[in-house]
Amino acid sequence: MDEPRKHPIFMTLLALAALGSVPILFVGRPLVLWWGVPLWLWWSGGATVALSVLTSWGFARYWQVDEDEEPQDVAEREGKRG
Amino acid sequence: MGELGGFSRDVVLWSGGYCLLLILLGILGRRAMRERTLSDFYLAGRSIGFLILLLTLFATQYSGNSMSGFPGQTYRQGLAYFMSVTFMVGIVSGYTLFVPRLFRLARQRKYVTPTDFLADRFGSPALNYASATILTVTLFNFLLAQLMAMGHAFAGLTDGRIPYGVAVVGGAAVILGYELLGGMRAVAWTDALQGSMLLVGMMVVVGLLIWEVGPPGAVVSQLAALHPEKVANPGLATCAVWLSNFLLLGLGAPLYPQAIQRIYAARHARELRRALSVMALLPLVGITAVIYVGTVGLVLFPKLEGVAADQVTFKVLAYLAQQEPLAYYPVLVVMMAVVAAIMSTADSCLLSISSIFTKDFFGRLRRLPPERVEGLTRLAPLVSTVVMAGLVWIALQKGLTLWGLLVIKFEILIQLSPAFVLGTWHDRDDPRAFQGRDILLGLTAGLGTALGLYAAGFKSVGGFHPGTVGVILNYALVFAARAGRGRR
Repeated sequence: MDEPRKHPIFMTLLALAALGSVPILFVGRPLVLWWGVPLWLWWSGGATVALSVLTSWGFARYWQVDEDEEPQDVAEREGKRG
Repeated sequence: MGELGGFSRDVVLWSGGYCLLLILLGILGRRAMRERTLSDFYLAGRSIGFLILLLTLFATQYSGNSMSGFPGQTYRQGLAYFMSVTFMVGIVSGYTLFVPRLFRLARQRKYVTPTDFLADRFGSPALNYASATILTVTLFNFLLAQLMAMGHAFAGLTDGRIPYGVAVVGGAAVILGYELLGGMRAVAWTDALQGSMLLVGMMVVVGLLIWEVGPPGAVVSQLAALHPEKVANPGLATCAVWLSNFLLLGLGAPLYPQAIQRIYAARHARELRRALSVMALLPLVGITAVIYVGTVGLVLFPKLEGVAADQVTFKVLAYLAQQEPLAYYPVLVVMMAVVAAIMSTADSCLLSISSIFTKDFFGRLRRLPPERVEGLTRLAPLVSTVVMAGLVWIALQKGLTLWGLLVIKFEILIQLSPAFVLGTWHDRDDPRAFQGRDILLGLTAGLGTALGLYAAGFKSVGGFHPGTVGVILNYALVFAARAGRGRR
């Protein structure tokens, strides 16, 4: 069965987005406001949006479920196999 | 909370109506029960569809603390508490690490509690009891805190018309009532009601706040002029706390037993997948809105200190209702939703504690066969009643403070992360599979490190929580133990 964590590129992008949300690049720099909002917040916000959309997309893309299969069928078939 | 004035009478009336509705949902849940088994009582017969699943997962993840505590933290820390949006997304990202496989195994092997997976996967009685104990300690803590928060919220919102003690006892009785009647079905339906109230009410209130006070950019500009330190670039220490919180919540919160049991209770993988896909997007709206409320509070009420900062949500809501007549009922809905969120977190904790006692402790200690364990439905209500009565008694004791224990609950819970994440990596028979003793070694070291650092007075190590330090060591030791076994 496919699942998100079996895809290293996806998981790496997820980790990068998570790390990117930490505004470490702005430490020790002067505050810059852009449209009234600090630039570091735009940066962290952008990375957080990326993390959120990637997570959502990852579930939809990589968690493959047989659409025609009834849950009980899966349980019984795999129960016999197991 | 005297400024709530006119609200207090309406809150009393609405609370009464809400509690009656909860009992009605309990009765409906009872009528929907299909069989007298633990799976039917604790997991709604594994029949929860997409919408209810989404709303119950939402209500589980967003407790009353998210709605009143997060704005309070924003008030204290400023915009740096935007980290909460990231870590709330991180919780759903954390599910990618183990949920698809855990759901499939739960279906195949009929798991009811989180420990069922560990028992099936590792077959280590020591690990089973350690896990059940950690989960119980975490849930006891969490439930007790919710009971106390419920008492304070009712007393505050009704200006003392419902005193703390009456609110704790009455609220606990209502929760116990609908839970005993309808089990997980009643709990999930009440979660759905609470989640809908919170989502709709919060969106309307934030819309009205933007209309009344200004859009986020304008509010932040005002804040920058009033308190430049609250919008300043975060320092290195804040960045470390940010990362540590992300790890702590991203690895710890998906292990909440009540969250795992909702995963077990999903009707189909397709519906669970859709629910989690939507859940990943919700913090962008829900938590950003909460941060905005805290920021508005900083601009409107700049001199709150201590506990008063935690009441900033209610102050902003009361201000909005005074300024904008249209806002009265949406504000009332949000205030009720915050109380409802506390109650829904409490009911989820109680249901999970009851299942762990019944199945993990009683069932396993008596070594009952699976079919006998499934039939322990008479024990479940007894356990729920005894646990609730005990915790209500503790909540009524004067001078009780739990905050220290609350803070470390995640740091304890997160130590189970390798068991679930690495446990779902391989099949039991796979030669590369991690074994129970590897997991136990890591768990013991991680737990010892986290609690030891706390006991020694270290609340953080270079900005990192003791639990985060512990779980890094925990994972490292589990990998090292497997590698060592491979060499031998």
